[in-house]
Amino acid sequence: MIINTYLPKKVVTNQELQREFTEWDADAFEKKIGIKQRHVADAQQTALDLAVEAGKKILNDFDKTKIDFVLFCTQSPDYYLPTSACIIQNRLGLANSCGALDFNLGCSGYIYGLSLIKGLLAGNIANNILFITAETYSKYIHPKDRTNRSIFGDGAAATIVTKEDLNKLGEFVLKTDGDGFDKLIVRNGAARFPFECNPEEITYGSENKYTNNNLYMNGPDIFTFTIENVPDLVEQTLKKNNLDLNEIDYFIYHQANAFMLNFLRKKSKIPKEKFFIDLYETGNTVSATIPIALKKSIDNSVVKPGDKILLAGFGVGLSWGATVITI
Amino acid sequence: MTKKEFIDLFVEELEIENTVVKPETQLNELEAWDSMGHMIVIGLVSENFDLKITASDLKALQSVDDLINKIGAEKFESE
Repeated sequence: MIINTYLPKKVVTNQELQREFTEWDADAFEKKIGIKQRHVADAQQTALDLAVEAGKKILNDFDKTKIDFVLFCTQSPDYYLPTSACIIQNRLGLANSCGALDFNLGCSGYIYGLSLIKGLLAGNIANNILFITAETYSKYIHPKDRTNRSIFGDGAAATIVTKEDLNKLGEFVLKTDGDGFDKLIVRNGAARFPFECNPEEITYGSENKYTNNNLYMNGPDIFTFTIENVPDLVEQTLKKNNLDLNEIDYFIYHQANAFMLNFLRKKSKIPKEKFFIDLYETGNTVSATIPIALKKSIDNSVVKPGDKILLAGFGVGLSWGATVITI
Repeated sequence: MTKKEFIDLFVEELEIENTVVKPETQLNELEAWDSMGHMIVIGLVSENFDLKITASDLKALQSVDDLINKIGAEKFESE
């Protein structure tokens, strides 16, 4: 399994946001939420463009003629149709014998992708899978929505999983609660509600503004959902993999925000040194946080070959899932 | 935990510096009572009282005393 990442060049720092939102306590935010800056895609740069860049980088280390499946996870496709993964196949110059499909998930997307990969490999459907997660929530966020602008960052991550890695993917626990579909949502613009030309500006939370054309997140409710469900998810995942908590070498959760992560860590009694928290320079990049974290941990030798790592993703849907992988 | 200890914890977690918080303090007057503040209190209540409290529960509250009553006054030790 190899991973590479691509972040758009433009960086927005807390200082820059502070100039726009003068009442905002940027220092408290940085300390509590653990974000100093985030990368933001250019107006012309889509999630697909970021995905292609991440794909190019990873294919420097892998023979692209061997890729026989492209899986792409995003909630920001270029078009309603066609499928973004088909365009990725072409732009990366991959063989026509490649399968390609998109799936729409957010913060749980990396876990779901790995579960699909396990099925494709075990079913003898594919042998060398290129799996890319890419997101540009910045395009959905209202310019006056300080909370979401400060939390989310754009980014992409590419992972190649081959048949030899199949036994490194452990058991999965996947969960869904569509009752919370409107807790994190872009309401307008797809089939249910058309994009509005003069949408009403709505104020919410800490003096943030958005319209129904924009991304809306009920942060406190998402937090409640997370603290209620993630500890159980982790427990069930350990059980399904016949492992005790202390047999896990490292834990990488979706990097939502540092405060929430620390809360979850304490609730599951995971030692600090075994738990990844670092979204300082990238913010919450949705489905890309886990592979970004995984790559960082591998590059910094925080995890070593043979280590067992518990991965957990949770968020929009509401959707959550976890697994144990061996590096 | 006594009510006083709870208020101390509330002040500490929300990092309230320039206001003396009392049971009658109005939550909306606290600068820290924003979405991040809500998140912190949801966590604080879950951790200390094993109780689920939602953002809409919090928004309906007026004072610190309302929060204590929402948690349940009987769950606090006497001073």
